[in-house]
Amino acid sequence: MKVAMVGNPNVGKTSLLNALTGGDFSVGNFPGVTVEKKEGKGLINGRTVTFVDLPGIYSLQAESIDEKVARDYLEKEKPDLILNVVNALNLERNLYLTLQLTKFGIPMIIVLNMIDEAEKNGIRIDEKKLSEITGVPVVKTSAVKGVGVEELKREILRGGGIPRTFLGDLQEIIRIAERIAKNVTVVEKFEKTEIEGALDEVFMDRHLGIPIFLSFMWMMFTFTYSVAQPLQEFLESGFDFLASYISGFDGWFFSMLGDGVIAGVGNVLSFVPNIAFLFLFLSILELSGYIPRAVFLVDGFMSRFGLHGRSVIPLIMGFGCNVPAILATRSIEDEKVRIATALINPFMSCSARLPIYVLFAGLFFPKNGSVVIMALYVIGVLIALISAFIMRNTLLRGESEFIMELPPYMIPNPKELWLMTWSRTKHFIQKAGTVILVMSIVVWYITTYPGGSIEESYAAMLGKAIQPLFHPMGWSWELVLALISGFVAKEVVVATIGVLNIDITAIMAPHQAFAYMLFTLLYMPCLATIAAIRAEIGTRWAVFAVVFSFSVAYAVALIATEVGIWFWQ
Amino acid sequence: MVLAVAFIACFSLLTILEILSSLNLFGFEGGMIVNSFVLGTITATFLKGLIVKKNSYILVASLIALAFSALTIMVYLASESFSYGIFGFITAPYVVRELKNKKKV
Repeated sequence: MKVAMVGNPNVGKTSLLNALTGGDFSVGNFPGVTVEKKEGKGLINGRTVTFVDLPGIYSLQAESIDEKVARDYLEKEKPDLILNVVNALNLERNLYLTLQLTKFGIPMIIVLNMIDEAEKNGIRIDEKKLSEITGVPVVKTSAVKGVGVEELKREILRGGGIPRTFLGDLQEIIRIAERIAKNVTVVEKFEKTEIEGALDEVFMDRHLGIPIFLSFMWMMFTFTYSVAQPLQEFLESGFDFLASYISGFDGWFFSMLGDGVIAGVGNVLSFVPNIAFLFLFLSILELSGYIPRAVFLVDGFMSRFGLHGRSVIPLIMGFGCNVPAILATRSIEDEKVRIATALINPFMSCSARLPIYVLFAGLFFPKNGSVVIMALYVIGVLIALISAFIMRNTLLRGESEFIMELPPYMIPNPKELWLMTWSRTKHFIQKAGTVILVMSIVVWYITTYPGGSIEESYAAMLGKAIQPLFHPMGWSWELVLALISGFVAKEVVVATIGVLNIDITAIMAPHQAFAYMLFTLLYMPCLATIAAIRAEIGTRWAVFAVVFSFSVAYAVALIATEVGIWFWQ
Repeated sequence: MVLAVAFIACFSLLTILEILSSLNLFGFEGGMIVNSFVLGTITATFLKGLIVKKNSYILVASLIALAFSALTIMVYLASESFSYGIFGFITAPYVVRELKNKKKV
């Protein structure tokens, strides 16, 4: 049995999918978390049910890619049942999509999710009356708390009901949705709680909103760098000990294992605490409902650069990983804004770059590590915005606007917080066990052969051949080699430095280290990101992204080196 | 509002001390200028609450101060780096009282 889950963005479809299947799909408290359909299998009374979680959409007009994905699926795949997930806090607007879904003639169940939040706000919905009007079963649920999930499972097995068809033009459908919502809803009192009201008033304050946002960002970087540091140092010393112990044995195999695999992969894995702490903080901000407020706050500012609020979510997701962030641009209806957002996304500092910053900041700026790291993130954002401004006034000229709803504030559910933090951190660890492992062995091989010493190795030949390009910055061939290998995945820069076993404080000054960090922030996106850009907006733009980002990185690193000389000489 | 005045005085002092220590002036040391930005933001939020006479600003400023205090305590434990933001815990009794009294407006 195939069940399609359809609903507006941020109504809790993914939470419901997790509740029905016992899965661990990542959820969020802002629109646009799901941009591709996700499948999860659940066993209900011995019967296997495949649930397909479609991207959140407001209508079936197919103006954006996610609307097209949802409509195409319903038209071509013809699921056995539609679970129309509706936000009980905003029935009228959600019903607009419900009425459009009736035209497919597929059996349907209306799920009134977040019913606990609605009832807390004094909203009472008569589900029997709604069922009579639409002709389909209506089930009240709270996916996060597991309320109504068993009843929903029973209804799924019964197969739902063929809905009464509501046809008409856009205005007619809106009027019908209004009428139905009025008919089945009793609003006793709809007021924000005192706490919610207070938070919104202050967080969205015209003068204080931005300083508070910046304060939270600072807290995030302090948490990521300073609080996680002892754990990082503990892991680092553990891997160092293991690497030197294993490489002490005779033979190429132990050399490869100690100097290649453990030194490379271990060097990257020692930064897992920093990555996990970053994701934990980001997840708290996302699940609490603060992120959409931040988006709303910066919308006016973003519009000056030709972007809009909806671009902010892919950009914030870019702090985690640029690949899903580029996929998240699908929810942007305006094609030119979408292309611009995808192209500037690699300038958002993804978590793979964090180990590079922590390594260099710890060695060169031990007292102000958090400040340096925050500065890099800010510089990345500024360069992204300037690039967007240039693109939107040249290659991608045009006007645009957006509408976004603000979800309620929530105390993050510990299970969802854990799932979100773990699923993102797991991705980093998996990369260490695959791409970085292979690259560590490759780097070990090219640094060991043919001569037996690094100076006579293939790596030295390659690094020395390309090094003149970076001569103005004064980086040694080892550092250049790390940059080349970082093209595969940014963490490989740190892995390469680990395999090369070089004392970077002896071969560069602090200003050169800062320029190097800037270069790794801005230079070519990693292979996976280039593939995502190519898949989403085409080969031509992928080539443009590579050339553009390399040029920007080179210019910025050169300027940083030249300016840095004034301070360090 | 008496409480707001007390919090403004206290957090202004903490902000000044953090600035002095970040600039290594008058024998103070170890602070960070960005921490003083956070403390300054908290002070400004209290101040706005006093000016517009709204408890919401006092409550949210207290919550931020408490969160910042928890963070700076963790930083101190992890890296022995001190910040005057640690003293933000003084808002804890007010936050607890307000959260207990939370009711629909």
